[in-house]
Amino acid sequence: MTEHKPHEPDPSRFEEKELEQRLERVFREHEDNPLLEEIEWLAGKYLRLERKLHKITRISDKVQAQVMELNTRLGNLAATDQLTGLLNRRGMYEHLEAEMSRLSRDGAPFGLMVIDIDYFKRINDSHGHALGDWALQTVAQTLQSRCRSYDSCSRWGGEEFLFLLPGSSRDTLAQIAQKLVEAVRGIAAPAEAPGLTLSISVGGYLCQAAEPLQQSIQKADDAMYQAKQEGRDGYALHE
Amino acid sequence: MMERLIRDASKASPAIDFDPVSGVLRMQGESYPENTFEFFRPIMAWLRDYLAQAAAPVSMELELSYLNTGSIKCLMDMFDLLDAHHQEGKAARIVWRYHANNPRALETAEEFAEDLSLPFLIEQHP
Repeated sequence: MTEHKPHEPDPSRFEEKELEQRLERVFREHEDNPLLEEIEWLAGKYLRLERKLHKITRISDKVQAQVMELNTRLGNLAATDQLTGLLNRRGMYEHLEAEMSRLSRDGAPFGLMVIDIDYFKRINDSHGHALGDWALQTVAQTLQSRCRSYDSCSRWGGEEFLFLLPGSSRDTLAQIAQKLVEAVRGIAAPAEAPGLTLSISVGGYLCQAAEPLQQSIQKADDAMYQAKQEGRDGYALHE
Repeated sequence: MMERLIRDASKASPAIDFDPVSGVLRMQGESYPENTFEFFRPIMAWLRDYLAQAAAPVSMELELSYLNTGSIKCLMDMFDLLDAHHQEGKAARIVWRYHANNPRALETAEEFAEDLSLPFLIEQHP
């Protein structure tokens, strides 16, 4: 047998008190009534049913809560990139769509950042996938820790990350991009890849008017390619 | 001798195997039939008839991952029958198994166990 924790008293306990008081009065006032025995039986039956009903409701609520918890957990799993723990493309789309509809509603601009690990293919090819995974995880953690709590960070695919920065201006976008580039610059690989350091190229775009999402992401992506062409390890903003 | 009660699991109803010879009454799966009382009526009837003549120890072994409200009510009714059997001095127990990945199911089991006097074993299975 397990021990049971006490739980909140049922509201039915108050009704029980009322029932007891009524019964006492009936017994006092109708002492000789032959129906008293039946009334007592019925009252007992009523109380047991009342208790059972409350217990069923309590258990049912618990089961319901468990199902909701599991649903949330599954939903989170479906929206998360396993390797980095960031949002995956699917999870990110939900945030992007919400932000885009906020923009068309209240005109609040938001920033998009496409971030690519420099020379990732070379890291993967010459040092192996384990080191590639290390680079992805390290960059993901570094970037996420530099973002604000209300920014959304995703692994968009391969070695590319997409960040959503609500309530941004061009200036804040530039500042954050600079901060991210500096945070990753020079991170050294573990001993098995001596001399290898990481850097990223960042492309930013400030979305100020409603447009197809794909188009806004493309603009941030174009800016990222510009940063690559300008020598990598830096950022560029789309006009 | 009573017949063994066997029901295959369906998407919304648990597998049932009540064996009058061994006294082991098993239910396993999820329980949210569209008409819960209809589903449990023959099962309740079987249990009532069985307990009226059962001489050997009775062990109800459950592994139920989801219960709708109607199923909770029917289970409690069955537990009450078993509890009454136990109070008559006959051997009866309930074994409740829950999955390790759903630790909150323990709370549900404890809630069921409350107010019952018969042994109610709660086991976690991996």
